[in-house]
Amino acid sequence: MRAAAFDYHVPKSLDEAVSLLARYGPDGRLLAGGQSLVPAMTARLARPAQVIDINRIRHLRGLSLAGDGVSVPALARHADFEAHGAQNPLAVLLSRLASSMGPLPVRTRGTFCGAVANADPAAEWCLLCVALGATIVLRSEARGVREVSAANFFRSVEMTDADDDEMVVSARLPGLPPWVQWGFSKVSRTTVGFGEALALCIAEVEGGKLTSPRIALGGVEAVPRRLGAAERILAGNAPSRTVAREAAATVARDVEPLTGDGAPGNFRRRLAATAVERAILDAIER
Amino acid sequence: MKHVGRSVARLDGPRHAAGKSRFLTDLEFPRQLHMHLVRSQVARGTVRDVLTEGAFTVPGVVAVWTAEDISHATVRAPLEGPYAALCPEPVLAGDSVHYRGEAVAAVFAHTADAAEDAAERIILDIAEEEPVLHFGNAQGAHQNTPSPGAEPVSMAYGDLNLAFHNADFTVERCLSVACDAPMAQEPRVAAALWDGGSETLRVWSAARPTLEGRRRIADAVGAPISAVVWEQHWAGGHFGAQAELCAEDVLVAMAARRLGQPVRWVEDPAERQALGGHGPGFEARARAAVSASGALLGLDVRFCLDLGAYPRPGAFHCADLIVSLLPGPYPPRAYRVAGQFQATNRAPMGFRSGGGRMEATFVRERLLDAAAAELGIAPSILRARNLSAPSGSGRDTAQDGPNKGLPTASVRADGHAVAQVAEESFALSVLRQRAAERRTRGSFCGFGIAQYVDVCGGGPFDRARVRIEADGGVEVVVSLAERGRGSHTAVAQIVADVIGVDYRRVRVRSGDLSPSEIGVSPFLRGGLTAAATSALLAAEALREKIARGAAQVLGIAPHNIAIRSGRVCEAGRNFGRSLELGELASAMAPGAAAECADGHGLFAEGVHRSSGVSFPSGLAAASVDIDAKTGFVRVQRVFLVHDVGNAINPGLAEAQLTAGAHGGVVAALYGAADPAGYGEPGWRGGSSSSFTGADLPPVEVALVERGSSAQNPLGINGIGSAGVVGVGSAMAAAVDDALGAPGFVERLPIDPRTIWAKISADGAAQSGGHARPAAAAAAKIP
Amino acid sequence: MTAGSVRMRVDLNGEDRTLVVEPRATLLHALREVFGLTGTRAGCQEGHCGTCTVLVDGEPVRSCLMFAVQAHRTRVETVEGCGDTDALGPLQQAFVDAGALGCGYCAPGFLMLAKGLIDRNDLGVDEIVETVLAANTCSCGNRDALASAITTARKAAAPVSPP
Repeated sequence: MRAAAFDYHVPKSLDEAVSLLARYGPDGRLLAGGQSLVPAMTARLARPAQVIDINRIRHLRGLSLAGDGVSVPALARHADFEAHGAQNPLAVLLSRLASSMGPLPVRTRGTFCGAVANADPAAEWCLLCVALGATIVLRSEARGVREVSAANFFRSVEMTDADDDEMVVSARLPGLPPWVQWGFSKVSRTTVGFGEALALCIAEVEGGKLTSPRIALGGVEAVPRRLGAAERILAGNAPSRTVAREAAATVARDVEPLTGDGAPGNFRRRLAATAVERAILDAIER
Repeated sequence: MKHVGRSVARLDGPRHAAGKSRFLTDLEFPRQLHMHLVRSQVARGTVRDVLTEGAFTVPGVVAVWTAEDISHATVRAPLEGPYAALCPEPVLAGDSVHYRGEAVAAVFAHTADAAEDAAERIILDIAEEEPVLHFGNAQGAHQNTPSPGAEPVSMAYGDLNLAFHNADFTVERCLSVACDAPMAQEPRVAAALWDGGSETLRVWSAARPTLEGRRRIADAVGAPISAVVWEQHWAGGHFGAQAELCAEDVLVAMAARRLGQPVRWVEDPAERQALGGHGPGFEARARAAVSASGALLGLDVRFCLDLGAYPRPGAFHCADLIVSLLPGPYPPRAYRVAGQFQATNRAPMGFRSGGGRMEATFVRERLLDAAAAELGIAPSILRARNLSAPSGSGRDTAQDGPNKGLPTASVRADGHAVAQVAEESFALSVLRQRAAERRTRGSFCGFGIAQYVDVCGGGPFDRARVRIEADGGVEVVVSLAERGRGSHTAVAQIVADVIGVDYRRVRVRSGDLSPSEIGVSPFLRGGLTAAATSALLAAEALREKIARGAAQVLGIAPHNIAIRSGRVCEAGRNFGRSLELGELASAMAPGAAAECADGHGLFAEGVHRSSGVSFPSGLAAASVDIDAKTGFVRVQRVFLVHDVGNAINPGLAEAQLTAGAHGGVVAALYGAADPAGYGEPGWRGGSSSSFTGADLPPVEVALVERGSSAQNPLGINGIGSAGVVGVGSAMAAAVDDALGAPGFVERLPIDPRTIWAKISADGAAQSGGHARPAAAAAAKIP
Repeated sequence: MTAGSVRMRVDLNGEDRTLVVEPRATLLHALREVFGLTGTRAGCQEGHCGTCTVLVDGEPVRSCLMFAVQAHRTRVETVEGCGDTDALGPLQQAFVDAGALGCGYCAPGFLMLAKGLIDRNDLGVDEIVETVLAANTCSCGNRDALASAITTARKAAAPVSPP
């Protein structure tokens, strides 16, 4: 239960951090919230020789939820999204997701960008990025700033498009119009556990019909993704329990669940459908 | 002021609140060495080589041991009788490994970091073989499996054939309980210190100081058994999970002796499941013969237990309890049970909280629920018809076999009283009604009950010492360690009442009091019953001494002595001469004016010889809600009634039962150490590890003081882990009720997949689709 | 001290302390092994159980999920800073009075978490209780007693400030 020895670096600026990453490549790991990295290191499942602690880089803090759209800096903690003053739909959605994420002492340390960089398939923030079509902003010494859409960023379980020398410096979330309706569902056997399936539904209603619906599913497949078939069922239809059920029915057919974690494929498909149906209902009834 | 029977505050409360209580993990020794183990990553294989050279490149490493360095020592002696063919658990694996996580090499170093760094540099060359991970379907595939057909535990009475011949109907079920991992808050610790000056070995262990344990440790260090001092210590939330001696206990003792320095080992949480001691997997085929009036005529059960890789006493003890307690509070006219064991390539099984009793209760109560459904009567009514009379109706004790002397059913368990108090306290029939009403409105909610008989106490001996100190305080030493139940506070209450002082003047601590040639029973240890009784006897003897001494000093007849708030005076007089207890202690000290003839001063010892165990009776009830779209079960409320005999401190008793009930809920919902059956020692990230208080239901407890045990003068029945015993069965009944499918739940923990499949199938049937049968566990017992 | 050790300063329970640690030592290890403050306890060490919860700059954190060096120039509060056996703080006394102590192992973690939330003074009683029970685990069956202890302590503290 003790991490393997490492050298500890405390860069004071983003340039310095990126330069350290360039120097150490695969031997270096960035330490932000540490809520995944530290236990992985103490269990010796991760053993970076160089740890680059970015917590002292002041300008990576400072989250503002007031505007249209949000640029989430690298040191925004989960808990920062909970107590928001802003009342725009995106801020409310962020607050809802943040408060469902693990026990409070983990939320006070864990960061949004760290969760995105970790790419856990069941992470709420990864799901959100995919659903919103967020832009992940990367920086490295060699290539400077590079922007990748969330849909292309998550590659597999804990694997992303970022190279060893690249740092997730921020995530840009597009704003939501005031009339948007959204719903979230996390299917979990425990109150604070990871979701066995989680779904987010965002849609607008125009003339009594659902338009531009977005449905994303996480925790089931290797990466969170939009569910095109379910979205097509919602589009152009009046919001109803029936349409929610029909959209969910496509999910059980569409998804290919990861296996080997105790819940067999068929059951996990069913849980995925339930999460999607509940997210849609939550959106419709909101 | 009397203390017994009142919920006085715990004496150790302020220490706990201040963070000042000391646990095994807090132990530190000057010049200590840290041990770290290298464990097999495969579940079964032949060890070709262990390359230890790399470890010595790490500064601070003192020694590295493999099986050869310790002469292939084993944790326990080979078993006798029907189990003689089973190979005993090695301290370090030699030529082969039999479960993932088995220790192969041990590293000793000056720091914990160095020990762990060095352990990583040791290379295990193991040829992997196909492991046996699922018990029941691969008989004989493991060297530790007894030959097929052997049924080493069994019991029978009455004419079973006649019972089934006369039955109006029979119910039959295949029932199982999955292997479960113990959940301790504090990591396991083993530490040992060899004092070359006095040639004694001090051992700190979570294991209980059994005679066998003392002998193994003594042999390991080449010292006589009397040279082993077993230090009892506070432990954090163990509750039986760590009772048995482990390889690590033996290793630190050997190392302390051989390396001449204190040695300490602290379990790494990643090792927790590898350490074993899980509740064994259990499968049973059970049938009951029932008359048209609902009388239980015959009970016939065959079962199999998963031993894991090596036999540990806990698994056998579990089997013995199943055999003894299957009939529970309803002794049938004829009974037959036979159990067998099977080894698998999983961590060695042991004894979980409520072990044996939980399985026995599950089998019996499931059969009763099935019979009630068959008859179309309420489960509580069927139970009432079969409950034994309050006394004397228990069947004979077993005459031979491993259960010799254990009665098959409660001798004094008063199931009627328990059921009556349950109805009066909680209006269970109303709760059942309400659940039914909510179901008509479309909710999947249900209510269920289970009655049980637990077994507590045991011995054979326990002792306590009581002393009056010069400041008037009372010091009590008991062999029972405080493990979080407040037992020391209960002991203080008893002693305070006998001596006549405020209980806050009583200081209770644990010490190694059992004579080395006796030791304690590993499982049915006396617990509070034995400690409290010994302390009572010691306090009574001391009270006599006080009376005699005070009579001499004060010039009053001994029978006229009264002690009030620590002051000794003449009974019935408010004024006149009196003495503080402390003054009396000084006066009676060796060499003083009124010295005691025994040369001990104001000191007495009490020895409790237990003549048997007690059988507290109880009832658990649960109401559940099922999420129809996921099959997830949520327990809304749990009710418990337990016959404590005599509640020394009702508040503590209720807390202990509540803790047990919570443990039962967790085991029935999130249990199963290894749901996927991969033989993985750890199961990270699963929701089983992430339940919190927010997922636990409120528990309401009613204490009954009816069937007082005749085995001890205080009439304590004991509680132990009774809260666990019936909750899973009550939840199973509640799930059946919610689904409208009597007998549906056949396995603990309750699997949401089967519930969801059942609800979907019923839904499909109702909507005219094809009805599918509910997924049922295939019978695996031949 | 090894070559890779780091010198750091921390305000520990109101005292300015300096220590030299290897970067790989977690805050939990440093508190227990360097400072001898064993009231902070090791449990699952993967962030779930919460027995190791302490306050860093007033925020409840899992001390097993933070390297000690990260606490450089922060204010760390542990159970030892809340009061001693014979002079308990109000929250500790509430735990004793409510009978919220079983084996005592998880108590310091619960205490520090509750203290952090009460001191923050922006949550109501029910929110605090709900958050605490969903964050830490106790295996002694003290759920309801913990809730009542925290409720008592919260009510005795300052009223919730208006938003």
